[in-house]
Amino acid sequence: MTDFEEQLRRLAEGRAELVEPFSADELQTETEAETAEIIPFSPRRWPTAVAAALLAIVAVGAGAFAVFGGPDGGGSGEFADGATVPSTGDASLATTSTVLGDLTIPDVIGDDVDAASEALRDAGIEVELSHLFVTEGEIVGDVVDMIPSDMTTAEGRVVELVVARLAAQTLSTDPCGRQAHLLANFDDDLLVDRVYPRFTDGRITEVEICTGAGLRTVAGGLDFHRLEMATDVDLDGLDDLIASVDAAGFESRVLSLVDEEVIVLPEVLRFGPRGDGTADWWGCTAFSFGGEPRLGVGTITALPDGTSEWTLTETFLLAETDGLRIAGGGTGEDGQGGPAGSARCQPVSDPQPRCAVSDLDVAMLGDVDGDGVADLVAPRDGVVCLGNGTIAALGGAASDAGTWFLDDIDDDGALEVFIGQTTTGATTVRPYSIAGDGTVTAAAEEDCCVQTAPAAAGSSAEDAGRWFSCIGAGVGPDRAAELVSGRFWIDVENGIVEWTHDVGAAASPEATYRMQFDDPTATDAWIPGNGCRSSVGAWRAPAEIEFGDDRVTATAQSIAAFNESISTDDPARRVVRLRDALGISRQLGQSGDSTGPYREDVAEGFFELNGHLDDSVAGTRWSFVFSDDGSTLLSVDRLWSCQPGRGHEEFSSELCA
Amino acid sequence: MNGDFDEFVKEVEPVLRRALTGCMPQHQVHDGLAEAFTYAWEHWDEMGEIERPVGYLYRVAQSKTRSRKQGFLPWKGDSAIPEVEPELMPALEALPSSQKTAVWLVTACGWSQVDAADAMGITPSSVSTHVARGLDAIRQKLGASA
Repeated sequence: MTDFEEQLRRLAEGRAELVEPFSADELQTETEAETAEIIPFSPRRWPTAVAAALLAIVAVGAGAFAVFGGPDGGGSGEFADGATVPSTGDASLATTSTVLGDLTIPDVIGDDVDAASEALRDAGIEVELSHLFVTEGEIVGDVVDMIPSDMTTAEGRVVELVVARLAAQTLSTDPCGRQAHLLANFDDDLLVDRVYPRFTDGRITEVEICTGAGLRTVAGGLDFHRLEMATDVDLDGLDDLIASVDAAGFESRVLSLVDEEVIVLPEVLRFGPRGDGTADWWGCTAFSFGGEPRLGVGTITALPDGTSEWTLTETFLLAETDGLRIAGGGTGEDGQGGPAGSARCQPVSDPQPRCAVSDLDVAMLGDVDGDGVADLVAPRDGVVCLGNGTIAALGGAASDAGTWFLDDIDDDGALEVFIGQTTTGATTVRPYSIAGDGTVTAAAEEDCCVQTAPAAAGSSAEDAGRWFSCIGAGVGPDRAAELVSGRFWIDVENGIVEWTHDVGAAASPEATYRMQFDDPTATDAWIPGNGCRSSVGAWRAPAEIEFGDDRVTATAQSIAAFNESISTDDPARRVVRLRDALGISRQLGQSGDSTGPYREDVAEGFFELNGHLDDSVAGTRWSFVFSDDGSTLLSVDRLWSCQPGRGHEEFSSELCA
Repeated sequence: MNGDFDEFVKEVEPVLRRALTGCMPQHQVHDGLAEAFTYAWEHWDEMGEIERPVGYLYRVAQSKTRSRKQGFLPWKGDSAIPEVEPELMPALEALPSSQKTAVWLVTACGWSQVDAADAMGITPSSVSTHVARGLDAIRQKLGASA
């Protein structure tokens, strides 16, 4: 044994002595003192006993409320209003179960924690993703109250829905005496506000709101078909109402409540069917959570019973407030929507639709022309809808929409659009630069990355990974090196990425090599000469790269380390990360086992919002912990950073002063 | 707590504590131990079926603490540990994470390659490769001979 190996042993031994040993007695004390009960909690079943128990709890904690009807007696998960609690998969929210955001759980539980705990456990309710921990006077959801309502994941939405239902069951014992159509937060008084539409000849002509101050009619003279949802559209931190004008929802308007007055914003959100014969819409709205505008894109499906389901499929963070907004509906002759067209995007400041986007699932937002305004990249349509209203056509380059990705390869502040084109036996990934006037410049042939067909499996089981070769040369001003040929493989099982290849004579360790995996969710790139950063979010672990004289070896590192290495002040990059997070999270519910901490090495991604206009909290970070293969969301945490003098300035779960 | 669990903690805790010192900030190691043994207690019936509980709990501790800082990290108390070359820690820290973990568990903590493989979720042969490469890199960096 060499001396430094012995030193390593001494180091481990010395460190172990610096840590206080743990004893079983300590565990017993912690368990009894800190965790009153671990409640299994599940969206799958919702027996009557639960509602009864919760209502009993409310009676204890909040006094005499009227009793809400509660779910049916069969334990099917169906509620009195007809909405059902989804179990797994891509759950969606019924309009009557608007997510409440941060629930004030003590309102639900009251003081009788033991009764709540007992009732839920006896009801056999289980949580798949996490557990609810009942401590003194409150439920602290490891996940439940930490997923912001406008960033819901499939599984998170399930959990939130259940919690929303919890609140609905308990809080809908309405001081105003009726079941609410929507729940919202209009006044930030920590009490759930309720919304009731009032109809005249089948049209909504008034809206009543029940707040902590009581019931009042806050709008008159309106003419709407339906109240769609309550969410913060105007970014003032308080919910607004979105109401549709007609049954098709071609036009929806925002009702903003300011100083107890309702203002119908001039801005029109347009929704509409996509012409496939089904009553689904693409819709959009701007969400606010922490001070930066965001764009949610999803489908709204009308149900036979007249209600609708909203499925948020994408959430984008806009680079600038004057970003893009995506509107649904077709591009009919009037240009304002119709049954035969596709979703459209438009600059916020310009009500005129600018750009047709047929498939928002694969659309991406990022600043491709470097003007600081987010642009919409629409692979399926082969276009980039620039924030300045110009449309750049990439139709001739479009092939497989799934191969598109964005990256600022030359560090000029504008993202290049990378597009894969498959020819016989190989896929060439080519970067395109787009100017503000819509001019598209394609990279030269030698600047492209070529992905060959998978090679034969190697000699070991780990060779079950995919093989590619990559050629990159002269991309950017300092990238003179050339990678002549090579191959690498990904061991999907354990996330290890290793690749080796020969390096041409002109190569240098500072060379930039780019590659793209055939799996779009694994799209990644390395720029070892620039801090080994990865500028495209990837859920496979990115590599640390070692350069030898004739060999390049890349070994996986943790996503956490990967995130550490990425600048977080670039909104476009955060968009990518968030988008990937949601993309992965949509797989939730399809995994057979999503409980328990025993996992492959976890991968962690996070999404940050900084620069809060708040005198206490400076930033918020949601941290997503995935299993290493990205298939399972293990947990979501919310952390805060504080303003100077108001507590910790690093992100922490501790609240700011 | 039952006697079996107490014995289990006494046996596993020193091994686990030592291993966790290589992948967590100092102040989080105790929390990691607490998380791991809490999990073990809550799943005590299943623990008996786990072939290598130390590796299992090593991963439990990591996943439950979810430190954003992972891998080998400098500790304030490192300099007080006698007879350790100052350049050793930077050399270890500079290794790719897999190599770092493998070297730490196998060389520093004396784990078998099988145990380390179980804890890392990779094959023993991969552990062997990572250890060899990691030690080689440290050796080159420190100018030591094999």
